[in-house]
Amino acid sequence: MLVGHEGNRRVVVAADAAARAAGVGVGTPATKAQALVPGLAIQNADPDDDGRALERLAEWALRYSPIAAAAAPDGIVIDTTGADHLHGGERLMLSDVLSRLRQAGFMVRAAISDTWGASHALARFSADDMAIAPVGAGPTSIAGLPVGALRLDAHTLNGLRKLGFRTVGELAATPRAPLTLRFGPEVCRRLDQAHGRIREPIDPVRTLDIAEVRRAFPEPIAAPETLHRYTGKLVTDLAGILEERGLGARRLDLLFYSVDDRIEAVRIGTSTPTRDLKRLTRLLCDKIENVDPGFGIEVMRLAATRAEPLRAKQFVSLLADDSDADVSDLIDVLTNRVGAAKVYRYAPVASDVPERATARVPAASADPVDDWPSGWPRPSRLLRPAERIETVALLPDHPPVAFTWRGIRHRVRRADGPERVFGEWWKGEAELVAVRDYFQVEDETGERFWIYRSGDGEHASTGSQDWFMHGIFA
Amino acid sequence: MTYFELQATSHFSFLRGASSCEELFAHASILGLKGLAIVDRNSLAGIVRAHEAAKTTGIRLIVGCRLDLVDGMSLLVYPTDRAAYSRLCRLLSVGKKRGGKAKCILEWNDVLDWNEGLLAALVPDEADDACALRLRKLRDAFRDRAYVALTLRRRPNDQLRLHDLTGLAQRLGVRTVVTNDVLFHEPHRRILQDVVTCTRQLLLNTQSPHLNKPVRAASAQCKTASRARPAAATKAEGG
Repeated sequence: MLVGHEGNRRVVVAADAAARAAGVGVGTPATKAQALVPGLAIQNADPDDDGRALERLAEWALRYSPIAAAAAPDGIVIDTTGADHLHGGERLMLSDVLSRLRQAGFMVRAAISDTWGASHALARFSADDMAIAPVGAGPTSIAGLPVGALRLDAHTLNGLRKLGFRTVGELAATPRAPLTLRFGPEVCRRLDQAHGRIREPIDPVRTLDIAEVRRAFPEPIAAPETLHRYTGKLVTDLAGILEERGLGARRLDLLFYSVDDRIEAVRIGTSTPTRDLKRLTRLLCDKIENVDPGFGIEVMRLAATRAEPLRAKQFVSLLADDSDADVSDLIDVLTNRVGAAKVYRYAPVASDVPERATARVPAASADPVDDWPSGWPRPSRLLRPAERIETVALLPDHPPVAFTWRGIRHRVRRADGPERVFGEWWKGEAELVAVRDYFQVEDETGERFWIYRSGDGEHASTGSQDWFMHGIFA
Repeated sequence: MTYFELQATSHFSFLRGASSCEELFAHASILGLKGLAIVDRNSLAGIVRAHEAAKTTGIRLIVGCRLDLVDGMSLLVYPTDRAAYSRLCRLLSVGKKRGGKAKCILEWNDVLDWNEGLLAALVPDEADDACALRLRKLRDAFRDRAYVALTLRRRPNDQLRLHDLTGLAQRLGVRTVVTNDVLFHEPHRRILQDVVTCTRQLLLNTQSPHLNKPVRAASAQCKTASRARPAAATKAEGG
C-alpha cells in the first residue's frame, strides 16, 4: 500500500489486491487504514520516482513504434499506426507487449483503438485485460464504460455521478451546453478526444544518446517530391553523425510534425548496420507515401533509434568479381513491406526427426555452420502434419504394395527403405521408445512420395503401426 | 532357414556395446538363433564370458574379433582353429604393444603377417572406389576366406547400397555374408547405447571434426544425461 499527501491529509494512493480485500481503497485516510488493518505495510509514495520509471518504460516501448510516451500517473501510450505489421499485426503485437511486461513483473492491461482517450478507457475499464477496438468503433466500444474512464479530475467525476451519469454513453448523449456550463469545457474536451473529434498529439520520449537530426521549415511543406528531397538531406546529415561515431543504422525513425499538431512517423529497419545513403533514402521514401502531410509539415526529425558499430572496410577490387551478390538491400525492402517475421531462411538443425531438422533464422544471418547431410534424399515438400494413408503392406520390413492418399489409390512400383528414425528420448518421455520407418516409394506414374510407418512393425509400444504420408519429392 | 548372427558387439568394446555377453546370449536363445558371434573391437576380452554364456544357453559361440585398422578399414575375422586363434591373439598383442594403454594400432601389413587360418569379412561403407580397393586387398590376402558383410543400416538408400555392394563383390569374386550390427540386446537398451556413444563422441570431439551430426546434437543433450545416470555409465565401464 502506498501513502501520499493530498493537501494536508495523508491518504492512500495505491493499494494491492490484499489491501483492497481488507477494505482499504484509494482515497482512504492513512490513519483510518491503519486502524482497519493492524500491521499494515505502508510505503511512502514517490511520484517523481514513479514518473522517471514510467519514462524508462516508455523508452523501452520505443521498440514497438517511434512514438511512445509516458502517460502519468500509471500508463504508457504508443502510437502504433504503421508499426504493427512489423510485429505480426495488432493482436500479436499487443500480446507481445503484455507477455514481456508480465515477465518483467508488471501487472498490465492494454488496449488498441483509434484514439488515445478510447485506448485509455478500454485499457483501464474493459472486461478483458487486452482489448482491441476495430477502426471507427472507438465511440461504441467505450459507451458502456463508467464515466471514470474519461480522464477527468475527481471533483468533476463526483459531480457527474451526483447527476446520475454512470456511463460514457449516457454522457455523450447529453446536450453539451448545460454540461459545459456546469463543469467547464473539460468534460466535452475529454469526450471529443476519446471520440477522435479533436486531436491529441503524443509527445514521444527520446533517448538521449541516439544520433538524431532535425530540420525546421519556415514554410510548411506538403508535396511528396519535397518530402523526398528533404528526407535525402536528413539521411545525409545523419550518415555524417553515424560515421563520426563509427556506427551503422539498424533502425531509423522519421517523424513529421505537421502544422495541425499531429505527428506522423515512418520507421524502417535494416538487416545489417548501414550508412548507405541511397539505400536508407530509398527505404524511407518507400514509406513516405503513407504519410498524410495534412496542412503541411513544419519539422522533420530523423533519428537512428538502433545503431550498431560499423567500421570502415576495404574492398578488394578484382577484375573477375566472383563474390556473391549482396541481397541485404532486397531483404530490407521486403522486411519493411511485409514484416520481419515473414522474411526468413532455413538453417539445418542436427536432428534425425524430419520436422525438427530445419529452423527458421533471420534472412540476413550468416551461413549456417552445419551443412545438410549429403546423399540423403529428402522431399522438397514436407507435409505438416503428416497425413494418414491406407496401405497394404507386409510387416515388418517391407514397403507397402499400394496405398490410398486423399482418396486416390497409388500402386507402388519401386521403393527404398526402411530408414529408421528413433524418437529423441532426451526430449520427452513420449519419445522413449517411439520409432518411425521411412520409405521412399514411387507409384506407376513416376511420382515419388515419402511415407512412414509409426512403429517398428513388431512392438506395439513403438507406435500405432499406422502409415502416414510425410512428403512429396519434386 | 537358420540364421547365425555374425556381428554382435558386447560391452567389452568400451563405449560401443551396451549389453553383456550373458544378456546377448540369453536374448539370442529367446529369438531362437542357432549361433552367435561375439566380435569386439580389437579385442577378444569378451570371449571367456561369451563361452560361459554359450554353455549355459546351448547356443553355439562363434569366436571372432572386429579389427579396426588405422587406415579406417574394418574387418571381421573368425579363427577356424586353435592355431589361428593364437595367431589372432598375437596380432592383437602386436597392435596393443604399439598403441599403449587402451589403444590398439594395427596396420594392413600386420593382418598380412598373421592372417593364416582366419576367415575375414570386410565391413564396407559405401560401394565406392575405396571400398573396391579394400575388397581387392582382402581378396588377394585371404583368397577363398574373404567375404564382404552386408548389413541393413536402415539409412536412406540402403537397398541401393546393398545392391551395389553385392555387384562389386560379384565382380571381384568375393562371397557375401549377411550380418546385423548388434550393439545391445533389447530395444530399451538403446538409451544406454546412445549415452555411451555420446560419451565416446564427446571424448573425440576435439580431435575429429566430422562426427555423425545427429549424434553430435545428441551428445550435447547427453552430456547432462550421462551425468545423471552414473549407474548406467559404470555398468558399461564395469566390463
